[in-house]
Amino acid sequence: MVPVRSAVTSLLHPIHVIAAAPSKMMQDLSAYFESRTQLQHDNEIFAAKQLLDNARLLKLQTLESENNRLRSLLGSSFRLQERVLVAELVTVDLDPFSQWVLIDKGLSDGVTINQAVLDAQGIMGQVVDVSEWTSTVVLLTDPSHAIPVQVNRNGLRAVAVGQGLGQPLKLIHMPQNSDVEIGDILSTSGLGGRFPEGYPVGTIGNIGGPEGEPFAAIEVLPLAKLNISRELLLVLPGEKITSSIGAKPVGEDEAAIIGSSAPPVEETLDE
Amino acid sequence: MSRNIVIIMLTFLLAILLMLLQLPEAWQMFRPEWVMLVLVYWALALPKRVGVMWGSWMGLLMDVLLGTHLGLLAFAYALATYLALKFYLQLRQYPVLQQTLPVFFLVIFVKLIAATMAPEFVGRLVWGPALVSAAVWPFIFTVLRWLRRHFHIR
Repeated sequence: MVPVRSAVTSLLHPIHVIAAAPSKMMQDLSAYFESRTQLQHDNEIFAAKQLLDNARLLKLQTLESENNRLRSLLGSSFRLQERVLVAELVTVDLDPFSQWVLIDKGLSDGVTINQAVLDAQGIMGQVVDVSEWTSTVVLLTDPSHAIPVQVNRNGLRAVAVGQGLGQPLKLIHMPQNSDVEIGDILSTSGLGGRFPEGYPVGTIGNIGGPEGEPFAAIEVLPLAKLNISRELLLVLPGEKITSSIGAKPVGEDEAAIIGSSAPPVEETLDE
Repeated sequence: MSRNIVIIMLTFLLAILLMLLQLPEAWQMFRPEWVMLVLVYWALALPKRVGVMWGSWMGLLMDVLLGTHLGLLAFAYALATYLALKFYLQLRQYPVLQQTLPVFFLVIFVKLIAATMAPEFVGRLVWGPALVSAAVWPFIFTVLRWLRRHFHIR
């Protein structure tokens, strides 16, 4: 049924485009009429941020090469550099009963089902459906979605389940005495093989220990701006990299970005 | 394809676009069931032409466009069209304002079927659309009746 659906969705692509046109036009108009002073102000902020980020990046590169050297000393495998693809939201509303969004990259751009999707802050969700030019992404907050995570501080593993848009995620099956604290950062654990390891997911928001319940009620606030972000990144799976980078030594810092108009960005989310 | 069918299809296309149009998050729970309202109107006006098959095909189309499980809305719309056809002689006799009540219940029906996959949201996403759909029914009825008479759709 999946290929049929994908084909029909591709066929109906024009309808999505027409439906997205009004809100896209509104966005473009507001961007066009943004005042000069506002733009100058933004530009200054971005320049300052760029400087800061560059400095951080330099430090990170040395850390990364050091990390790789230590890993090789230990005999463990290198962590692969992942490739990313920049996509944009298509502004249409999908099924109101689930947290799905439509993005403007599909089969023709190399998107596959189960690919991880993130924004600048953290993981947003994963691809559930692809057609030729668009794909459907399920957000972390969808009640049918769960993501394997680990606490950055101590490596404690857990599963975070969605509870609907605007609601925090919840960690399930965590004992009352498990070692989590408010403010702890959770990142993907890579277990299950769907999400690449080490991308930030959320912070612990609230810990409750309801009386008489076997498990603690732990809330996770997602880091990704799920209802604000317009640009998002698709992580292409690791295996593909070795084949496409080819002879280049693994671990060398090489921004491997596909997507024609995307500016070169470095993958710097490794912890 | 006759001109009549083309005009009917255009009304459906407009309804589908209205269903997909992005609304601010707070308004989403008040989006009327445009496609179902148009379906019900044509079923009442031209029961020989627009029937259960139209309902299920439109539903299937919406399933693909909205990303719902295939067949969910197809079943819901087919059922709504069937009920409208079953009682079309009766419903036609009512004044427009009185027709809003059966329309209200039809939307609740459709929304409940669509909600079977996410029972968490039943409270929030069933009553709002039903109320707004009932409120816009007189408007849809008037516009589509004007269209039908103007273009002599039979």
